[in-house]
Amino acid sequence: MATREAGKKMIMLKSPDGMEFEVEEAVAMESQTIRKMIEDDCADTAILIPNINSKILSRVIEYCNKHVPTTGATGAAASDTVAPAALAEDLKIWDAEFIKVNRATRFDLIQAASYLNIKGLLDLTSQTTIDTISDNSLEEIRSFLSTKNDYLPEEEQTIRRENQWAFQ
Amino acid sequence: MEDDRQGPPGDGAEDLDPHLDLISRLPDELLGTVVSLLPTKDGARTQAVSRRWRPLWRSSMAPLNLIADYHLSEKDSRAALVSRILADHPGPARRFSIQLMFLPESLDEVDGWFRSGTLAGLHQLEATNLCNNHYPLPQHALVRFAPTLRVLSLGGCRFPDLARPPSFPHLKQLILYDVGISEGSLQSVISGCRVLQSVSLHNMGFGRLCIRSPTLRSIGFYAPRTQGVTTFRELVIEDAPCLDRLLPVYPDDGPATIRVIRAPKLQILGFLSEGISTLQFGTTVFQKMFAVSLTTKMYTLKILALDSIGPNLDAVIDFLKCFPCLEKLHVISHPQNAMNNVLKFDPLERIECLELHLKKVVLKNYNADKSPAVDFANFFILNAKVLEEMEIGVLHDGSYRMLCNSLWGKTGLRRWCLT
Repeated sequence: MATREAGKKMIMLKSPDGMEFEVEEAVAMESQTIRKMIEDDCADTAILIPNINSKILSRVIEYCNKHVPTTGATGAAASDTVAPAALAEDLKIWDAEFIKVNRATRFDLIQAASYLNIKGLLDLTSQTTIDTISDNSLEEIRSFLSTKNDYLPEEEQTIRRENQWAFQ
Repeated sequence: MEDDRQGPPGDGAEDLDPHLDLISRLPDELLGTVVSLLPTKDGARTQAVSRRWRPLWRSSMAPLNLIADYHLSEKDSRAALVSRILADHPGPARRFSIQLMFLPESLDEVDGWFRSGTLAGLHQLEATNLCNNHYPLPQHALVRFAPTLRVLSLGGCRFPDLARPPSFPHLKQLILYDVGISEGSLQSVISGCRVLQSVSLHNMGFGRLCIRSPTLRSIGFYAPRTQGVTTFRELVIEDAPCLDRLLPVYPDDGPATIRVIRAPKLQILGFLSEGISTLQFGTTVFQKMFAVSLTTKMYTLKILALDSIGPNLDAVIDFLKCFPCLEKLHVISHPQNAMNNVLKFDPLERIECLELHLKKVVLKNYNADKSPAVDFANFFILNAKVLEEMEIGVLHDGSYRMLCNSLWGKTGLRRWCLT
Protein backbone atom coordinates (compact mmCIF):
# COMPACT_ATOMS: atom_id res chain seq x y z
CA MET A 1 0.00 0.00 0.00
CA ALA A 2 1.31 3.44 -0.88
CA THR A 3 2.31 5.72 1.94
CA ARG A 4 2.64 9.48 1.70
CA GLU A 5 5.35 11.42 3.54
CA ALA A 6 2.80 12.66 6.05
CA GLY A 7 2.49 9.08 7.22
CA LYS A 8 -1.10 8.79 6.14
CA LYS A 9 -2.02 5.49 4.58
CA MET A 10 -3.12 5.88 0.97
CA ILE A 11 -5.47 3.68 -1.04
CA MET A 12 -5.78 3.48 -4.81
CA LEU A 13 -9.29 3.36 -6.23
CA LYS A 14 -9.78 2.44 -9.90
CA SER A 15 -12.84 3.15 -11.97
CA PRO A 16 -13.82 0.78 -14.81
CA ASP A 17 -12.88 3.45 -17.37
CA GLY A 18 -9.28 3.17 -16.22
CA MET A 19 -8.90 6.23 -14.02
CA GLU A 20 -7.01 5.88 -10.76
CA PHE A 21 -7.64 7.91 -7.64
CA GLU A 22 -5.22 7.93 -4.75
CA VAL A 23 -7.09 8.76 -1.54
CA GLU A 24 -6.35 8.62 2.15
CA GLU A 25 -7.44 5.38 3.70
CA ALA A 26 -9.65 7.24 6.18
CA VAL A 27 -11.46 8.93 3.27
CA ALA A 28 -11.97 5.67 1.41
CA MET A 29 -13.27 4.06 4.59
CA GLU A 30 -16.23 6.44 4.64
CA SER A 31 -17.53 3.72 2.31
CA GLN A 32 -18.51 0.71 4.41
CA THR A 33 -17.98 -1.49 1.34
CA ILE A 34 -14.37 -0.35 0.95
CA ARG A 35 -13.85 -0.43 4.72
CA LYS A 36 -14.79 -4.09 4.71
CA MET A 37 -12.38 -4.82 1.85
CA ILE A 38 -9.57 -3.07 3.70
CA GLU A 39 -10.36 -4.77 6.99
CA ASP A 40 -10.49 -8.15 5.26
CA ASP A 41 -7.09 -7.39 3.69
CA CYS A 42 -8.44 -7.51 0.16
CA ALA A 43 -6.97 -4.13 -0.69
CA ASP A 44 -3.27 -4.73 -1.14
CA THR A 45 -2.73 -2.81 -4.34
CA ALA A 46 -5.70 -1.07 -5.91
CA ILE A 47 -9.42 -1.48 -5.46
CA LEU A 48 -11.48 -1.70 -8.62
CA ILE A 49 -14.85 -0.04 -8.16
CA PRO A 50 -17.11 -1.66 -10.75
CA ASN A 51 -20.08 0.15 -12.30
CA ILE A 52 -19.04 3.63 -11.14
CA ASN A 53 -17.42 5.75 -13.81
CA SER A 54 -14.60 8.15 -13.07
CA LYS A 55 -16.84 11.22 -13.21
CA ILE A 56 -19.14 9.87 -10.50
CA LEU A 57 -16.33 8.30 -8.51
CA SER A 58 -14.52 11.63 -8.36
CA ARG A 59 -17.69 13.25 -7.00
CA VAL A 60 -18.06 10.49 -4.43
CA ILE A 61 -14.47 10.99 -3.31
CA GLU A 62 -15.11 14.74 -3.11
CA TYR A 63 -18.02 13.99 -0.78
CA CYS A 64 -16.02 11.58 1.38
CA ASN A 65 -13.12 14.01 1.61
CA LYS A 66 -15.46 16.64 3.00
CA HIS A 67 -17.20 14.29 5.41
CA VAL A 68 -14.27 12.34 6.76
CA PRO A 69 -13.98 13.12 10.49
CA THR A 70 -11.14 15.54 11.07
CA THR A 71 -8.47 14.79 13.60
CA GLY A 72 -8.84 16.96 16.68
CA ALA A 73 -6.07 18.83 18.46
CA THR A 74 -5.79 16.05 21.00
CA GLY A 75 -4.96 13.61 18.25
CA ALA A 76 -8.09 11.58 18.86
CA ALA A 77 -10.24 10.95 15.84
CA ALA A 78 -13.28 13.17 15.98
CA SER A 79 -15.48 10.31 14.83
CA ASP A 80 -15.93 9.61 18.52
CA THR A 81 -17.43 13.00 19.13
CA VAL A 82 -20.54 14.75 17.98
CA ALA A 83 -19.75 17.38 15.35
CA PRO A 84 -19.92 20.89 16.78
CA ALA A 85 -23.04 22.70 15.68
CA ALA A 86 -21.16 25.23 13.53
CA LEU A 87 -19.28 22.53 11.67
CA ALA A 88 -22.48 20.58 11.09
CA GLU A 89 -24.09 23.74 9.70
CA ASP A 90 -21.17 24.28 7.31
CA LEU A 91 -21.47 20.72 6.10
CA LYS A 92 -25.18 21.16 5.45
CA ILE A 93 -24.49 24.18 3.28
CA TRP A 94 -21.76 22.30 1.48
CA ASP A 95 -24.08 19.31 0.95
CA ALA A 96 -26.78 21.57 -0.48
CA GLU A 97 -24.29 22.88 -3.06
CA PHE A 98 -22.88 19.42 -3.74
CA ILE A 99 -26.27 17.98 -4.65
CA LYS A 100 -27.07 20.72 -7.16
CA VAL A 101 -26.43 18.39 -10.06
CA ASN A 102 -28.52 17.29 -12.98
CA ARG A 103 -30.89 14.38 -12.59
CA ALA A 104 -28.67 11.87 -14.35
CA THR A 105 -25.79 12.61 -12.03
CA ARG A 106 -28.03 12.51 -9.00
CA PHE A 107 -29.30 9.04 -9.83
CA ASP A 108 -25.77 7.86 -10.57
CA LEU A 109 -24.78 9.20 -7.15
CA ILE A 110 -27.65 7.35 -5.47
CA GLN A 111 -26.50 4.11 -7.04
CA ALA A 112 -22.89 4.75 -6.17
CA ALA A 113 -23.78 5.62 -2.58
CA SER A 114 -25.80 2.45 -2.33
CA TYR A 115 -23.09 0.20 -3.80
CA LEU A 116 -20.32 1.77 -1.75
CA ASN A 117 -22.58 1.91 1.32
CA ILE A 118 -22.00 5.56 2.26
CA LYS A 119 -24.93 6.32 4.49
CA GLY A 120 -24.60 10.11 4.53
CA LEU A 121 -24.43 10.35 0.74
CA LEU A 122 -27.32 7.91 0.32
CA ASP A 123 -29.46 9.94 2.73
CA LEU A 124 -28.54 13.17 0.95
CA THR A 125 -29.27 11.90 -2.54
CA SER A 126 -32.46 10.09 -1.50
CA GLN A 127 -33.72 13.14 0.34
CA THR A 128 -33.77 15.19 -2.85
CA THR A 129 -36.07 12.57 -4.38
CA ILE A 130 -38.21 12.49 -1.24
CA ASP A 131 -38.56 16.28 -1.41
CA THR A 132 -39.72 15.93 -5.01
CA ILE A 133 -42.44 13.46 -4.10
CA SER A 134 -43.73 14.91 -0.81
CA ASP A 135 -46.84 17.03 -1.03
CA ASN A 136 -47.13 16.91 -4.79
CA SER A 137 -49.90 15.58 -6.99
CA LEU A 138 -49.33 12.39 -8.99
CA GLU A 139 -49.10 14.38 -12.19
CA GLU A 140 -46.44 16.63 -10.71
CA ILE A 141 -44.47 13.68 -9.34
CA ARG A 142 -44.49 11.95 -12.72
CA SER A 143 -43.38 15.12 -14.38
CA PHE A 144 -40.55 15.77 -11.88
CA LEU A 145 -39.33 12.19 -12.10
CA SER A 146 -39.94 11.93 -15.86
CA THR A 147 -41.87 8.76 -15.12
CA LYS A 148 -44.42 7.79 -17.73
CA ASN A 149 -47.87 6.80 -16.53
CA ASP A 150 -48.13 3.31 -17.98
CA TYR A 151 -51.44 2.45 -16.29
CA LEU A 152 -54.65 2.02 -18.21
CA PRO A 153 -57.09 4.66 -17.01
CA GLU A 154 -59.27 2.05 -15.30
CA GLU A 155 -56.24 0.52 -13.55
CA GLU A 156 -55.26 3.85 -12.12
CA GLN A 157 -58.83 4.43 -11.02
CA THR A 158 -58.81 1.10 -9.17
CA ILE A 159 -55.60 1.95 -7.33
CA ARG A 160 -56.93 5.36 -6.40
CA ARG A 161 -60.19 3.82 -5.18
CA GLU A 162 -58.46 1.12 -3.13
CA ASN A 163 -56.25 3.72 -1.46
CA GLN A 164 -58.73 6.55 -1.42
CA TRP A 165 -57.52 7.76 1.99
CA ALA A 166 -54.12 8.59 0.52
CA PHE A 167 -55.60 10.80 -2.17
CA GLN A 168 -57.82 12.91 0.10
CA MET B 1 -15.96 18.59 -13.08
CA GLU B 2 -18.40 21.38 -13.66
CA ASP B 3 -20.24 19.88 -16.62
CA ASP B 4 -22.69 18.04 -14.42
CA ARG B 5 -23.72 21.03 -12.35
CA GLN B 6 -27.28 22.11 -12.70
CA GLY B 7 -27.63 24.60 -15.49
CA PRO B 8 -30.09 25.48 -18.20
CA PRO B 9 -32.21 22.49 -19.21
CA GLY B 10 -30.50 20.21 -21.66
CA ASP B 11 -26.94 21.30 -20.98
CA GLY B 12 -25.73 17.86 -19.95
CA ALA B 13 -25.45 15.10 -22.49
CA GLU B 14 -27.42 12.65 -20.33
CA ASP B 15 -30.10 15.21 -19.66
CA LEU B 16 -30.86 15.87 -23.30
CA ASP B 17 -33.90 13.67 -23.16
CA PRO B 18 -36.19 15.12 -20.51
CA HIS B 19 -38.38 12.02 -20.83
CA LEU B 20 -35.63 9.66 -19.76
CA ASP B 21 -37.04 7.89 -16.72
CA LEU B 22 -33.92 7.47 -14.63
CA ILE B 23 -35.51 6.90 -11.27
CA SER B 24 -37.37 3.82 -12.43
CA ARG B 25 -34.03 2.19 -13.20
CA LEU B 26 -32.97 2.34 -9.57
CA PRO B 27 -33.14 -0.99 -7.76
CA ASP B 28 -36.15 -1.84 -5.57
CA GLU B 29 -34.06 -1.46 -2.46
CA LEU B 30 -33.34 2.21 -3.14
CA LEU B 31 -36.82 3.12 -4.32
CA GLY B 32 -38.18 1.27 -1.29
CA THR B 33 -36.04 3.40 1.01
CA VAL B 34 -37.46 6.52 -0.59
CA VAL B 35 -41.05 5.25 -0.22
CA SER B 36 -40.46 4.28 3.41
CA LEU B 37 -39.10 7.72 4.27
CA LEU B 38 -42.11 9.52 2.80
CA PRO B 39 -44.99 10.65 5.01
CA THR B 40 -47.67 7.94 5.20
CA LYS B 41 -50.04 9.29 2.55
CA ASP B 42 -47.29 10.27 0.12
CA GLY B 43 -45.85 6.79 0.47
CA ALA B 44 -49.14 5.09 -0.32
CA ARG B 45 -49.76 7.42 -3.28
CA THR B 46 -46.58 6.25 -5.00
CA GLN B 47 -48.46 3.04 -5.90
CA ALA B 48 -50.31 5.04 -8.53
CA VAL B 49 -47.25 6.68 -10.13
CA SER B 50 -46.56 3.82 -12.54
CA ARG B 51 -46.37 0.04 -12.69
CA ARG B 52 -42.75 0.19 -11.58
CA TRP B 53 -43.78 1.86 -8.31
CA ARG B 54 -46.93 -0.09 -7.60
CA PRO B 55 -45.55 -3.07 -5.58
CA LEU B 56 -43.07 -1.03 -3.53
CA TRP B 57 -45.33 0.42 -0.83
CA ARG B 58 -46.43 -3.04 0.31
CA SER B 59 -43.02 -4.63 -0.06
CA SER B 60 -40.47 -5.39 2.61
CA MET B 61 -38.15 -2.95 0.78
CA ALA B 62 -40.38 -0.11 2.01
CA PRO B 63 -41.20 -0.82 5.65
CA LEU B 64 -44.36 1.01 6.68
CA ASN B 65 -43.99 4.55 7.98
CA LEU B 66 -47.28 5.13 9.81
CA ILE B 67 -47.60 8.56 11.39
CA ALA B 68 -51.11 8.93 12.76
CA ASP B 69 -51.31 12.71 13.01
CA TYR B 70 -53.41 15.44 11.44
CA HIS B 71 -51.66 14.98 8.10
CA LEU B 72 -53.10 11.48 7.94
CA SER B 73 -56.72 12.43 8.60
CA GLU B 74 -59.21 14.31 10.75
CA LYS B 75 -59.37 13.24 14.40
CA ASP B 76 -62.72 11.51 14.03
CA SER B 77 -61.72 9.19 11.24
CA ARG B 78 -58.13 8.63 12.32
CA ALA B 79 -58.54 5.48 14.43
CA ALA B 80 -60.51 3.72 11.71
CA LEU B 81 -57.91 4.66 9.11
CA VAL B 82 -54.99 3.43 11.23
CA SER B 83 -56.83 0.11 11.71
CA ARG B 84 -57.41 -0.08 8.00
CA ILE B 85 -53.80 0.63 7.03
CA LEU B 86 -52.54 -1.93 9.53
CA ALA B 87 -54.98 -4.45 8.02
CA ASP B 88 -54.03 -3.58 4.41
CA HIS B 89 -50.27 -3.43 4.71
CA PRO B 90 -48.47 -6.73 5.17
CA GLY B 91 -45.55 -5.18 7.08
CA PRO B 92 -42.83 -4.94 8.18
CA ALA B 93 -42.92 -1.45 9.63
CA ARG B 94 -40.26 1.16 10.22
CA ARG B 95 -42.04 3.78 12.27
CA PHE B 96 -45.31 4.00 14.19
CA SER B 97 -46.28 7.33 15.66
CA ILE B 98 -49.55 7.97 17.52
CA GLN B 99 -51.00 10.89 19.43
CA LEU B 100 -53.23 9.16 21.96
CA MET B 101 -54.91 12.31 23.27
CA PHE B 102 -56.81 12.52 20.00
CA LEU B 103 -58.00 8.93 20.25
CA PRO B 104 -59.62 8.81 23.73
CA GLU B 105 -62.40 6.50 22.56
CA SER B 106 -60.06 4.10 20.83
CA LEU B 107 -57.63 2.92 23.49
CA ASP B 108 -58.77 -0.70 23.14
CA GLU B 109 -58.06 -0.46 19.45
CA VAL B 110 -54.63 0.99 20.21
CA ASP B 111 -53.86 -2.11 22.23
CA GLY B 112 -54.77 -4.19 19.18
CA TRP B 113 -52.56 -2.06 16.93
CA PHE B 114 -49.56 -2.87 19.10
CA ARG B 115 -50.26 -6.56 18.43
CA SER B 116 -50.62 -6.11 14.66
CA GLY B 117 -48.35 -8.31 12.58
CA THR B 118 -47.76 -5.33 10.28
CA LEU B 119 -45.64 -3.65 12.95
CA ALA B 120 -43.08 -6.45 12.92
CA GLY B 121 -39.49 -5.23 13.04
CA LEU B 122 -40.48 -1.72 14.18
CA HIS B 123 -37.54 0.72 14.38
CA GLN B 124 -39.23 3.78 15.77
CA LEU B 125 -42.12 3.97 18.23
CA GLU B 126 -43.61 7.32 19.26
CA ALA B 127 -46.62 7.43 21.59
CA THR B 128 -47.76 10.76 22.99
CA ASN B 129 -50.59 11.39 25.39
CA LEU B 130 -50.58 15.05 26.35
CA CYS B 131 -53.47 15.07 28.79
CA ASN B 132 -53.96 14.68 32.51
CA ASN B 133 -53.77 10.93 32.77
CA HIS B 134 -50.78 8.84 31.85
CA TYR B 135 -51.48 6.27 29.17
CA PRO B 136 -50.39 2.86 30.44
CA LEU B 137 -48.14 1.57 27.68
CA PRO B 138 -48.97 -2.14 27.42
CA GLN B 139 -46.25 -4.44 28.62
CA HIS B 140 -46.69 -6.67 25.57
CA ALA B 141 -45.95 -3.73 23.25
CA LEU B 142 -42.70 -2.88 24.97
CA VAL B 143 -41.54 -6.49 25.16
CA ARG B 144 -42.46 -7.06 21.54
CA PHE B 145 -40.74 -4.03 20.04
CA ALA B 146 -37.69 -3.82 22.33
CA PRO B 147 -35.52 -6.16 20.21
CA THR B 148 -35.77 -3.98 17.07
CA LEU B 149 -36.35 -0.39 18.25
CA ARG B 150 -33.84 2.30 17.25
CA VAL B 151 -35.84 5.22 18.61
CA LEU B 152 -38.32 5.17 21.50
CA SER B 153 -40.21 8.37 22.19
CA LEU B 154 -42.91 8.41 24.87
CA GLY B 155 -44.90 11.36 26.17
CA GLY B 156 -47.48 11.28 28.96
CA CYS B 157 -47.26 7.51 29.27
CA ARG B 158 -46.74 5.11 32.14
CA PHE B 159 -43.89 2.74 31.56
CA PRO B 160 -44.90 -0.86 32.25
CA ASP B 161 -43.95 -1.98 35.72
CA LEU B 162 -41.70 -4.91 35.02
CA ALA B 163 -39.41 -6.66 37.48
CA ARG B 164 -36.77 -6.53 34.74
CA PRO B 165 -37.39 -4.24 31.78
CA PRO B 166 -36.55 -5.80 28.40
CA SER B 167 -33.21 -5.00 26.83
CA PHE B 168 -33.05 -2.75 23.79
CA PRO B 169 -30.07 -4.04 21.81
CA HIS B 170 -30.44 -1.53 18.94
CA LEU B 171 -31.85 1.51 20.74
CA LYS B 172 -29.95 4.68 19.83
CA GLN B 173 -32.27 7.39 21.04
CA LEU B 174 -34.57 7.49 24.07
CA ILE B 175 -36.91 10.45 24.49
CA LEU B 176 -39.19 10.60 27.51
CA TYR B 177 -41.56 13.47 28.24
CA ASP B 178 -43.54 13.28 31.47
CA VAL B 179 -43.31 9.50 31.62
CA GLY B 180 -44.11 7.54 34.75
CA ILE B 181 -41.08 5.32 35.24
CA SER B 182 -39.17 4.35 38.35
CA GLU B 183 -35.51 5.28 38.74
CA GLY B 184 -34.66 1.59 38.88
CA SER B 185 -36.42 0.79 35.61
CA LEU B 186 -34.90 3.73 33.75
CA GLN B 187 -31.41 2.99 35.07
CA SER B 188 -31.81 -0.59 34.04
CA VAL B 189 -33.05 0.34 30.52
CA ILE B 190 -30.18 2.78 29.96
CA SER B 191 -27.41 0.57 31.28
CA GLY B 192 -28.81 -2.41 29.35
CA CYS B 193 -28.56 -0.67 25.95
CA ARG B 194 -25.59 -1.55 23.80
CA VAL B 195 -25.63 1.28 21.26
CA LEU B 196 -27.57 4.05 23.02
CA GLN B 197 -26.34 7.51 22.01
CA SER B 198 -28.85 10.04 23.21
CA VAL B 199 -31.28 10.37 26.16
CA SER B 200 -33.78 13.19 26.69
CA LEU B 201 -35.65 13.32 30.01
CA HIS B 202 -38.09 16.19 29.70
CA ASN B 203 -40.53 17.15 32.44
CA MET B 204 -39.23 14.23 34.46
CA GLY B 205 -38.45 14.16 38.17
CA PHE B 206 -36.40 11.66 40.12
CA GLY B 207 -35.01 11.27 43.61
CA ARG B 208 -31.60 10.08 42.52
CA LEU B 209 -30.95 8.94 38.99
CA CYS B 210 -27.63 7.26 38.24
CA ILE B 211 -26.44 6.98 34.65
CA ARG B 212 -24.11 4.22 33.55
CA SER B 213 -23.72 3.68 29.83
CA PRO B 214 -20.74 2.61 27.77
CA THR B 215 -22.03 4.36 24.63
CA LEU B 216 -24.14 7.36 25.65
CA ARG B 217 -23.00 10.63 24.05
CA SER B 218 -25.66 13.12 24.98
CA ILE B 219 -28.10 13.57 27.86
CA GLY B 220 -30.57 16.45 28.21
CA PHE B 221 -33.05 16.83 31.05
CA TYR B 222 -35.38 19.09 32.99
CA ALA B 223 -37.84 18.64 35.82
CA PRO B 224 -41.51 19.60 36.07
CA ARG B 225 -41.90 23.21 37.24
CA THR B 226 -43.47 23.30 40.69
CA GLN B 227 -43.66 26.08 43.24
CA GLY B 228 -40.90 25.64 45.76
CA VAL B 229 -40.67 21.86 45.49
CA THR B 230 -37.69 20.19 43.90
CA THR B 231 -38.95 17.32 41.79
CA PHE B 232 -35.56 16.22 40.48
CA ARG B 233 -33.15 16.00 43.38
CA GLU B 234 -30.02 14.41 42.02
CA LEU B 235 -28.48 13.27 38.75
CA VAL B 236 -25.31 11.22 38.95
CA ILE B 237 -23.21 10.49 35.88
CA GLU B 238 -21.54 7.43 37.37
CA ASP B 239 -19.78 6.08 34.36
CA ALA B 240 -20.28 7.41 30.84
CA PRO B 241 -17.02 6.96 28.93
CA CYS B 242 -18.42 8.40 25.69
CA LEU B 243 -20.54 11.22 27.12
CA ASP B 244 -19.93 14.33 25.06
CA ARG B 245 -22.84 16.58 26.06
CA LEU B 246 -24.45 17.16 29.45
CA LEU B 247 -27.41 19.45 28.92
CA PRO B 248 -29.56 20.74 31.78
CA VAL B 249 -32.32 22.43 29.74
CA TYR B 250 -34.00 24.55 32.41
CA PRO B 251 -31.51 24.40 35.27
CA ASP B 252 -33.60 26.64 37.55
CA ASP B 253 -36.01 23.71 37.91
CA GLY B 254 -33.33 21.23 38.86
CA PRO B 255 -31.88 18.76 39.29
CA ALA B 256 -30.73 20.33 42.54
CA THR B 257 -27.56 18.27 42.49
CA ILE B 258 -25.52 17.07 39.55
CA ARG B 259 -22.53 14.83 40.18
CA VAL B 260 -20.22 13.80 37.40
CA ILE B 261 -18.08 10.93 38.60
CA ARG B 262 -16.75 9.66 35.29
CA ALA B 263 -17.29 11.36 31.93
CA PRO B 264 -13.80 11.48 30.42
CA LYS B 265 -14.94 12.87 27.07
CA LEU B 266 -17.34 15.58 28.19
CA GLN B 267 -17.07 18.54 25.79
CA ILE B 268 -20.30 20.51 26.06
CA LEU B 269 -22.02 21.58 29.29
CA GLY B 270 -24.96 23.86 29.98
CA PHE B 271 -27.07 25.63 30.86
CA LEU B 272 -25.86 25.93 34.42
CA SER B 273 -27.57 28.19 36.93
CA GLU B 274 -28.06 28.67 40.65
CA GLY B 275 -30.95 26.22 40.37
CA ILE B 276 -28.30 23.54 40.45
CA SER B 277 -27.29 24.13 44.04
CA THR B 278 -24.52 21.53 44.02
CA LEU B 279 -22.49 20.71 40.97
CA GLN B 280 -19.67 18.26 41.30
CA PHE B 281 -16.99 17.09 38.88
CA GLY B 282 -14.81 14.51 40.56
CA THR B 283 -13.65 16.32 43.69
CA THR B 284 -14.42 19.81 42.41
CA VAL B 285 -17.58 21.22 43.94
CA PHE B 286 -19.60 24.28 42.94
CA GLN B 287 -22.31 25.51 45.24
CA LYS B 288 -24.78 27.97 43.76
CA MET B 289 -22.29 28.52 40.91
CA PHE B 290 -19.29 29.27 43.12
CA ALA B 291 -16.42 26.84 43.54
CA VAL B 292 -15.90 25.63 47.08
CA SER B 293 -13.30 23.14 45.94
CA LEU B 294 -11.34 23.19 42.70
CA THR B 295 -9.28 20.04 42.94
CA THR B 296 -10.42 18.25 39.76
CA LYS B 297 -10.01 19.98 36.42
CA MET B 298 -11.76 18.82 33.28
CA TYR B 299 -9.51 19.28 30.31
CA THR B 300 -11.98 17.90 27.76
CA LEU B 301 -14.64 20.58 28.13
CA LYS B 302 -14.80 22.93 25.13
CA ILE B 303 -18.17 24.68 25.34
CA LEU B 304 -19.90 26.02 28.45
CA ALA B 305 -23.20 27.90 28.80
CA LEU B 306 -24.01 29.76 32.01
CA ASP B 307 -27.39 31.18 32.89
CA SER B 308 -28.61 33.81 35.36
CA ILE B 309 -25.47 34.87 37.12
CA GLY B 310 -25.76 38.51 36.72
CA PRO B 311 -23.16 38.40 34.93
CA ASN B 312 -20.79 37.59 37.69
CA LEU B 313 -17.13 37.56 36.93
CA ASP B 314 -16.01 35.69 40.03
CA ALA B 315 -18.25 32.75 39.29
CA VAL B 316 -17.16 32.70 35.66
CA ILE B 317 -13.51 32.64 36.64
CA ASP B 318 -14.09 29.62 38.87
CA PHE B 319 -15.49 27.83 35.86
CA LEU B 320 -12.59 28.91 33.64
CA LYS B 321 -10.22 27.40 36.20
CA CYS B 322 -12.19 24.18 36.36
CA PHE B 323 -12.24 23.85 32.55
CA PRO B 324 -8.75 24.92 31.42
CA CYS B 325 -9.29 24.08 27.73
CA LEU B 326 -12.62 25.87 27.30
CA GLU B 327 -12.96 27.41 23.83
CA LYS B 328 -16.47 28.87 23.83
CA LEU B 329 -18.29 30.54 26.68
CA HIS B 330 -21.95 31.56 26.53
CA VAL B 331 -23.35 33.75 29.31
CA ILE B 332 -27.07 34.52 29.45
CA SER B 333 -27.46 37.27 32.02
CA HIS B 334 -30.59 38.42 33.77
CA PRO B 335 -30.36 42.18 34.28
CA GLN B 336 -32.75 42.17 37.22
CA ASN B 337 -30.22 40.13 39.15
CA ALA B 338 -27.72 42.05 41.21
CA MET B 339 -24.36 41.99 39.60
CA ASN B 340 -21.28 41.28 41.52
CA ASN B 341 -17.89 41.87 40.02
CA VAL B 342 -15.97 42.03 43.27
CA LEU B 343 -13.04 40.54 41.56
CA LYS B 344 -10.94 38.04 43.42
CA PHE B 345 -9.05 37.58 40.18
CA ASP B 346 -5.39 38.42 40.55
CA PRO B 347 -4.25 39.98 37.25
CA LEU B 348 -0.89 38.28 37.71
CA GLU B 349 -2.51 34.90 38.06
CA ARG B 350 -2.18 32.85 34.92
CA ILE B 351 -5.41 31.17 33.92
CA GLU B 352 -4.66 28.61 31.24
CA CYS B 353 -8.02 28.96 29.59
CA LEU B 354 -7.61 32.74 29.11
CA GLU B 355 -4.00 32.40 28.01
CA LEU B 356 -4.36 29.63 25.50
CA HIS B 357 -7.85 28.47 24.62
CA LEU B 358 -10.85 30.79 24.97
CA LYS B 359 -11.69 31.80 21.40
CA LYS B 360 -15.30 32.88 21.52
CA VAL B 361 -17.49 34.62 24.09
CA VAL B 362 -21.23 35.10 23.65
CA LEU B 363 -23.06 37.47 26.01
CA LYS B 364 -26.84 37.58 25.85
CA ASN B 365 -29.24 40.06 27.48
CA TYR B 366 -26.33 42.40 27.80
CA ASN B 367 -27.12 45.73 29.40
CA ALA B 368 -24.37 48.22 28.60
CA ASP B 369 -26.07 50.94 30.68
CA LYS B 370 -24.53 49.36 33.70
CA SER B 371 -20.84 49.65 34.17
CA PRO B 372 -20.39 46.20 35.77
CA ALA B 373 -21.69 44.70 32.55
CA VAL B 374 -19.19 46.72 30.54
CA ASP B 375 -16.43 45.64 32.91
CA PHE B 376 -17.54 42.08 32.42
CA ALA B 377 -17.25 42.28 28.65
CA ASN B 378 -14.03 44.25 28.87
CA PHE B 379 -12.51 41.62 31.08
CA PHE B 380 -12.53 39.08 28.24
CA ILE B 381 -11.24 41.54 25.70
CA LEU B 382 -8.35 42.45 27.96
CA ASN B 383 -7.51 39.05 29.38
CA ALA B 384 -8.47 36.38 26.85
CA LYS B 385 -5.27 36.29 24.84
CA VAL B 386 -6.50 34.18 21.94
CA LEU B 387 -10.06 35.53 21.77
CA GLU B 388 -11.20 35.66 18.14
CA GLU B 389 -14.88 36.39 18.33
CA MET B 390 -17.31 38.08 20.64
CA GLU B 391 -21.05 38.03 20.12
CA ILE B 392 -23.18 40.35 22.22
CA GLY B 393 -26.96 40.38 22.35
CA VAL B 394 -27.96 43.80 23.71
CA LEU B 395 -31.18 44.68 25.50
CA HIS B 396 -32.00 47.90 23.67
CA ASP B 397 -30.61 50.45 21.22
CA GLY B 398 -29.16 52.68 23.92
CA SER B 399 -27.21 49.69 25.09
CA TYR B 400 -25.92 49.17 21.59
CA ARG B 401 -24.57 52.73 21.34
CA MET B 402 -22.97 52.62 24.75
CA LEU B 403 -21.45 49.31 24.00
CA CYS B 404 -19.84 50.68 20.88
CA ASN B 405 -18.49 53.62 22.83
CA SER B 406 -17.16 51.51 25.62
CA LEU B 407 -15.66 48.60 23.73
CA TRP B 408 -14.96 49.71 20.20
CA GLY B 409 -11.37 50.13 19.25
CA LYS B 410 -10.08 48.32 22.31
CA THR B 411 -9.82 45.08 20.57
CA GLY B 412 -8.04 43.27 17.83
CA LEU B 413 -10.81 40.73 17.54
CA ARG B 414 -11.25 39.11 14.18
CA ARG B 415 -15.00 39.16 14.43
CA TRP B 416 -17.60 41.19 16.25
CA CYS B 417 -21.23 40.37 16.23
CA LEU B 418 -23.95 42.47 17.81
CA THR B 419 -27.43 41.00 17.82
